[in-house]
Amino acid sequence: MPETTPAESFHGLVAKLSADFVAMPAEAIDAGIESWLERIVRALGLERSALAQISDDGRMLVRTHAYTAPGFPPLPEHIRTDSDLPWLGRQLRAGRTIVVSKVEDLPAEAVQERQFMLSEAGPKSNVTLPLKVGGNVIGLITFASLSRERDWSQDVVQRLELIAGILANALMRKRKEWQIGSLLRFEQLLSSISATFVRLPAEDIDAALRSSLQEVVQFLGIDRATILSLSDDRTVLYRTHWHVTSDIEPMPPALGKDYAWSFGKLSKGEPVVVSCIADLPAEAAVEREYLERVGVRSMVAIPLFLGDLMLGAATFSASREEVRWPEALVQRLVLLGGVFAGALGRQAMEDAQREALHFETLIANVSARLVAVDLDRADEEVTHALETVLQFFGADYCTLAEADPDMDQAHIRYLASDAGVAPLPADFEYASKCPQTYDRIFRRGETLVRSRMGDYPAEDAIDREMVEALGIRSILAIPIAGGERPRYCLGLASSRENIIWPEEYVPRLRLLGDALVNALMRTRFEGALRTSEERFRRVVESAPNGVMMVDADGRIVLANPQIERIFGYRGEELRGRQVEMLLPPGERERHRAYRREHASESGLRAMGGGRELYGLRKDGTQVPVEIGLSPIRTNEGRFVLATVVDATERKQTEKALRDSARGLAEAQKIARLGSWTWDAVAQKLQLSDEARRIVGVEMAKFGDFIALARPQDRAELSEAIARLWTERADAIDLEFPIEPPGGGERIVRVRGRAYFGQDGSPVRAAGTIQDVSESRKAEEETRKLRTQLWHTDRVARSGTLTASLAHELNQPLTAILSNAQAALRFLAHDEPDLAELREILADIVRDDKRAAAVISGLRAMMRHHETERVSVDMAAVLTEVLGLLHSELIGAGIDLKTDFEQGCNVLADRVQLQQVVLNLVMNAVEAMRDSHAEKRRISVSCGGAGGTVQVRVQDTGPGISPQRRESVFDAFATTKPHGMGLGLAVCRSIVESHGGRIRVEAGDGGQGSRFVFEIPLMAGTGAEFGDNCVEVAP
Amino acid sequence: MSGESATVFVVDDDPSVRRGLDRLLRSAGYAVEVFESAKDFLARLPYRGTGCIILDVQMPGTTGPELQSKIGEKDVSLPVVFLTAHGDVSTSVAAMKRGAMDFLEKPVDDEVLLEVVRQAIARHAVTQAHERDRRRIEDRLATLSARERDVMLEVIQGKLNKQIGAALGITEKTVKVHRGRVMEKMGVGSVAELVHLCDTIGITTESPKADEGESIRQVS
Repeated sequence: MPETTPAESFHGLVAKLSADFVAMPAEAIDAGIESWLERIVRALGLERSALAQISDDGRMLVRTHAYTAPGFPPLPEHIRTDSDLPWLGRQLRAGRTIVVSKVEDLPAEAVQERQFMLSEAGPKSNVTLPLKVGGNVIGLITFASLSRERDWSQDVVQRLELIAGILANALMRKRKEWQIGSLLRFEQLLSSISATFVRLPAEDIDAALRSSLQEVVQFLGIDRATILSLSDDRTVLYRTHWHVTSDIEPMPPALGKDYAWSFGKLSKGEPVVVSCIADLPAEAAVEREYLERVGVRSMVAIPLFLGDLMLGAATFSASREEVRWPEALVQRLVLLGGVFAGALGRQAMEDAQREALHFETLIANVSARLVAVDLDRADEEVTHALETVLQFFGADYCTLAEADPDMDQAHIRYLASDAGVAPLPADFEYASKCPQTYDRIFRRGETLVRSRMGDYPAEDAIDREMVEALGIRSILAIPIAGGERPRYCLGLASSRENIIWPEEYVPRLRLLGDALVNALMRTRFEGALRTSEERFRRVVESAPNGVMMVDADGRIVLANPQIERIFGYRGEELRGRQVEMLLPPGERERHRAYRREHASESGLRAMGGGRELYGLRKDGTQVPVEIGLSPIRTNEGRFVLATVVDATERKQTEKALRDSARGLAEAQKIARLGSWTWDAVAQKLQLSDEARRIVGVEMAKFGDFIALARPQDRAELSEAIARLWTERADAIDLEFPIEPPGGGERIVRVRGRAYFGQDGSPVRAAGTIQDVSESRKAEEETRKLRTQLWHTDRVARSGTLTASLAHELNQPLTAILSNAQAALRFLAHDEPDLAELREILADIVRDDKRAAAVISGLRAMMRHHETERVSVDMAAVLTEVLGLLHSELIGAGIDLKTDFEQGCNVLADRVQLQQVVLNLVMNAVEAMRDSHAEKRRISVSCGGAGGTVQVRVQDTGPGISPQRRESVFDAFATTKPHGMGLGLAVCRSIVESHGGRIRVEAGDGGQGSRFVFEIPLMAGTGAEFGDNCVEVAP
Repeated sequence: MSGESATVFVVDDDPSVRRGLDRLLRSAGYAVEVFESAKDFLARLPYRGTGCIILDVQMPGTTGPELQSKIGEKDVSLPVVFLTAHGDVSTSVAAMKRGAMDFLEKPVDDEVLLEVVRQAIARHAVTQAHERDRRRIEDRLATLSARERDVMLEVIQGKLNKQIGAALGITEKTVKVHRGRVMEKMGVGSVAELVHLCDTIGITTESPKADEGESIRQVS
């Protein structure tokens, strides 16, 4: 019989398993279960064991842990309890253990189970046990013999039931701890992400979304996260932001209506959760095909809603493994979706706002230029105006056509076209080529909006054909110089894409057309200047936003009714006055300087350089405004045309947006995260609801806040906040305890950054405030748990050493007993040899001390105590530990070499240092288990090196590959079948807690590995001081 | 006391234990030789006298059970008494199978140890006596010619000369001559004595009818 690894005794195994799982950290449970399944299979001489858990919907058993002996088929990954193995499913649900020694044991009704046993992957004989936690069945565990039928003694079955109980509990503990630990951490992530988006400038939102996706991917250990935006026509989801791990493809750029099942759920506001592809219902065939094709094994899609409006979706997927998406995690992802939706909404709104302002300024600018145009440059100006409009809309052609009513014809008079497209035919005539179009525009004054060719009514088929022949896909045509028979038509067309023409711009375009036509008229009729000015006035006065003209000396020349409305003045109160009257007093001097400085510049620009601007109203209140400036030059000199948009509404919208983005508020609440904004202009601190709840009181300035801190912290806080402005430190991150008026101490973390105007003056600061009391408490708990873990590791290791320690103790006891009894016998002789008796007594005393040392060493190892740091001689620690390990090393056939430099003292916890050395040496012993007997050697040395003491433990085992050297210190990185994988992680945490470092390198001559740790030498100790120190101590 | 001229060999890597056992065994009147390792002890061999070995199970270099095998290879019949600091059942079973005299747990009481040592030495004495007899018989057996040996094997099965002659393809008269020489060389006066000698050195006689499997079996 070939012997591979000697099978352990099954009876002993159960006790070890139970002990192993009691102390096992949640993260180690999965690996622990797998390794134990293998050990059980080997101990019982079986071929397969598997653990499967009931899926969330209860219809499926999903294999989560398994061991299958090489050469045998594994258990299927998924078993449907309603159709695949129904009888088994019923038995399990009833909590019954099913023992099947041979297929004939199955009852008649177990038809499918019989088929399964007779199938190729089926067992010849097995025991299947329910995994029960508190009366609930969460899955099954099965132990199978695939090669032969066998009997299962009652004793074995009872022990397997015990094992099932232990594993079920461990799994449940893992689920719970995951939920608690991981949710806590996820909330921290959520809070830091939502903090990022508070008051984030719109142009930074894209980058922030991408980095948030990356953080989520890394946190969840998945490989892809994507934000999809819903198209305007609500039929397609476009990929807009994504993050993928290196070897994974991003999602395709667009998902269409085929994905009806997902679309349906998402548009109802429901998340789509697919833990494994088999979970998908039949109607999700398209999704299934897609996921299989791109190799996604598990995913969640979260709808992104702003109020009732669906913006898109965020999807998270894993291609390497199936991921469980617990309800609680999905809820958090929905909150995250809320944060994303808020950011996307704000971005869209600001984009639209900026575009609208841009358009206003553009129209005003063009109009102004046309008013002031020299007669001989009119053609040029008109073409320039058309080009400007062309660029704004991203269109390919912009035309101005003129009709001749007498001839009933219309021709293109002016044309601007994009450099990349074919020119339109110069002699294009409307009435003959596009009769319906001619009729609609020039006879009936209709505006034509044809975003796509399908928008043409059926009766316009000829026109459509004509336009299509020109390669045009999208048209906007606006009749100009109204009345019953318009003479002109302003046209925009695109040949490369369909443009959804924004109809709200049509009236403004018509005004622009008026201005153009007017300029043309002027070239034909003398003295039309006045009319032209009239037209300009009309453009200005009918503008939906404020427009005013300011002369070179800063006097207001013209102000439209919107300006009057915004600032609360009547027109005559403004005309001729300095424009600075409309600014807050603090801004006036700066504005004057600015105006002088930029007086000679030409071209369109926005004022404030992204700063927030405020205007001063007649009633003394301030109004947020956005201002676009465009200089114009006329025969009468330089003027500046200023377009003023009242941003109050936008601010209100923003507020509404924030309110509607319930996700953000909710996320803030869960993460105990509030936001604050300091308005440097209004000198006012604003707190979000959650921020107010955290500090327990409303406050209007930083001072109120600082007053909540402990007296000893206040000065430091004031300085830190002041630095935000004075040193322009662009970020603060402070953590300190506060005492809210309602009582109870809290630890808060305040983060924020300052925003400055172009001239360097402070505009505002904004950031978050978070109640981190619980996190800190959790960290304290973690610290205690870590100490507990060190202790557990120590006790577990001492346990494995028991046999060796018994030997260490029995040696002196044997010597004592033999010596004492020999002495008694010598005494019974006639002439006892006194010299010999004296020697015997001396030996007894020495051996007694030796036994005592072993016991106290063991006791110290087992003691669970809080850290106490004293001066410890490293060489002494090494000698003690190696003394305890003496038998262990002999038992493993290992040759030990030591080289210790005495007197290297460190400030350390003696027991913890012993533990590090013990773990390293035991690790070396383990590493050489399969080495050739004559080559097993461990060298341990210590010595001072540059302010530290360096301890080196070298073995002659197989060594550790360079790639793995970093990860061996991670918890559960074990390669050993029986280890917990904690030893080296414990070493690292202990060494680091002593301010030291630990690493592993190749051993001498490239053979084996050498673990090296360094701990700082005690200041003032070492060879010359060591002893004095003790003397001066009281 | 039977062990007064006997030597006890103690092999243990622990100097304290060695000294203690040395004293205890000397106090009981044995000659004692102590060794730090299996290697040292093997270098001390051969030993022709009576005695026994006290062996620590767990030692650096060669362990107790390994030494036990090597001693076996060297054809040393000294009985081995194992001492172990922890009752390792599988090791003890293996040791006993290889013929260990006893398996004692440390710390061991003097009465137990000395009794086991006494029995071991007594057994060694018997073994040695037996060994001497056996060697004498084997010496005589070596003087037989091949044919005489064949005849002897037939004789001790109680066969008649006629039967032997038929089985070996020789005349009855020749059988008689060979038979006479066998009795003379082996120094016996009767077939019964011859059968006893053969039995002592492991040449047994069994009726082929009683056991069809094997009629003569050499036990080594």
